[in-house]
Amino acid sequence: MHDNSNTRSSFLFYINILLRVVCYFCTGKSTRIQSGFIKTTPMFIFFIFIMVLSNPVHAADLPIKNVLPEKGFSESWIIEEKAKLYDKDTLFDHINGEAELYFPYGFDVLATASYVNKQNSDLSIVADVYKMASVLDAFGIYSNYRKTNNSWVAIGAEGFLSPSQLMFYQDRYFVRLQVSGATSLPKDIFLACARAISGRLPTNLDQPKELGILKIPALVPKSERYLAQSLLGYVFFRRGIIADAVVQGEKMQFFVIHEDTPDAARKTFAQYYSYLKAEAQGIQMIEHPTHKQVIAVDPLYGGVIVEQSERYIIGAVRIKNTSVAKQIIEQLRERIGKAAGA
Amino acid sequence: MKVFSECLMDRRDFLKTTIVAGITFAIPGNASLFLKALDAAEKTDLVVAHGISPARITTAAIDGLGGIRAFISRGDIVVVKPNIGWDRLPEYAATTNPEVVSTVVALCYEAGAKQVKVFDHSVVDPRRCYKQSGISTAATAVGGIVSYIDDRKFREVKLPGVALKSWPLYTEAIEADKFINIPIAKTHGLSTLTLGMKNLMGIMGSSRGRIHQRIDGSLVDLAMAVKPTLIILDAVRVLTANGPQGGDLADVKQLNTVVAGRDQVAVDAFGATLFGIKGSALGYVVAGQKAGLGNMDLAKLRIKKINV
Repeated sequence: MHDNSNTRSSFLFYINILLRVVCYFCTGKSTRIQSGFIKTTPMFIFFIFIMVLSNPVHAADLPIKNVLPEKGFSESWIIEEKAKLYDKDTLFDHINGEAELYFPYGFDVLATASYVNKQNSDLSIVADVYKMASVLDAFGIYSNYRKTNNSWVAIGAEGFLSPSQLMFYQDRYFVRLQVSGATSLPKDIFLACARAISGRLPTNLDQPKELGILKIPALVPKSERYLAQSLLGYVFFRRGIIADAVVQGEKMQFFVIHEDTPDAARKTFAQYYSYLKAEAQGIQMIEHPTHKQVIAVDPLYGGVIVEQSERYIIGAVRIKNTSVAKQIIEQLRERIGKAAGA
Repeated sequence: MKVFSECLMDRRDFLKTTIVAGITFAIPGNASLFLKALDAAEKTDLVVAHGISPARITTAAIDGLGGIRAFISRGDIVVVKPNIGWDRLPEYAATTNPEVVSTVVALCYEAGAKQVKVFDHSVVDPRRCYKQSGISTAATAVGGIVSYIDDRKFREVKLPGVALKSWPLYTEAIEADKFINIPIAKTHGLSTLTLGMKNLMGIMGSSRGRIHQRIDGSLVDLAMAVKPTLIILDAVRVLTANGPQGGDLADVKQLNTVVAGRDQVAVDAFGATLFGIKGSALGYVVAGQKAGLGNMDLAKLRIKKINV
């Protein structure tokens, strides 16, 4: 008891000194702290101090763990063990090198859990919910797995289903469900799990607004992919959206690169032009009153037409017929104009 | 006593071999055939076996290199290192084909191996990975000693230093008499493809994610420190997209192929061609050749193709 009393007195003494120093710096005056204040405030500070010490900011404490049903998503499918969380430092432990794919999209945290079938413990669904930096980033990682011939499901902003997987994105979240112990699972089971998770996510079901510019008649539906780094493999195309197009039976790809300012877009365009001058053949630079356009044969992507418009770089690659590709560029330019007007 | 018994067996083996060779040489014409076969096996860099039976093409690929006895001696403690990294059924091609693994285990025992150990550092829950991959059941059925990785069995090992100076490696792998690497060929988000050299990461301890930024040099360091006796690349099914974990059968392609070789760089360079790319497109293959680990120039390699 004696020791404890001494310890407490010493503690109060040091807190008194600490508070005086703090008051001195705040007011410029030496202050005598009232004993009642000394006895309650230090305890409050100490309490906060202990709380902070005992609760370092771990990924495990983030609210994302609430996105997974705690017990199960139906009577037959129960959670195997408590959801686990992975952050940037530990994602590799869950998905190995595939983690590299997620980092450019501003991966924040992953919550994962297995839901085991009550009748057959070998059968389970692994539910992974990734929190990304933005809706565009969530779409970006989702679009990496999406194929144009998938079966679409009405979950989140968009979702698809295969015999063994269901994936969707909603707000900043990308959700991946995978059957384990079988090569297929009935659709209704996947959907039940997906709906249980979707209901716990933010209700924003909007697609990223950046996709709007690509909605031209030639677009192959659901072919858009957002790449958060090195579009077309070129480092100067830092990020952008690429999609498939079919015009008059001719297939090609077109892309939109969003820069922050027109100046930044001009700089990116100049870098690509310099690259083409060094590596490509048959380069034509056409200077329009409002913009510059380059037509060339890219060493990696064949026929290419690219221009800078406002803060965007727009282009088409793998083109065979320049006049057909020009229609796409014109349509994109119109969409940009409308977006700017809006 | 035990050692004496083993020595006696070795002597018996020696006598048997001598007698068989003697008879072979004594019969006119047989000697040259025997020498030709021996010579061909020694000169073959890679064997690519194709056929519908994973067991038969695995055996054929090894036979093309001179047979399992060219690699395994009586009394050897052998480590067989498949990819058991994922909770996936074999159909998804995320893990090594169980029949390829069990065939190699059985062949090692036929060659007189004392123990054949099978393990991998699974990415997710090892219990599920070992079971769902089918490897645990298949390898155990032929006498393989299948075990989960034990965190206490890692030892810091000095590496050549291309990217890593040292790293904790699994003791059982580095202390084995023979080490057989059996990767599956598949795509990989980090290294483009995961083949033989990448599969060695399964004997690494600590936080493997730390080698992200130096993956090519790190794999070369690892491959130089742990040179496998034999590499069997499983391409019975390959994962063509969304690797390494896969999970969609639409991404899997059936190639019914097994590639065997001693040269890690050569096996990986050939493995790349299964995906329509050149070995020179893989950073670790280029780095491996540069470090003198092997040869990625397929035009200069003696590649034997077998249909079974």
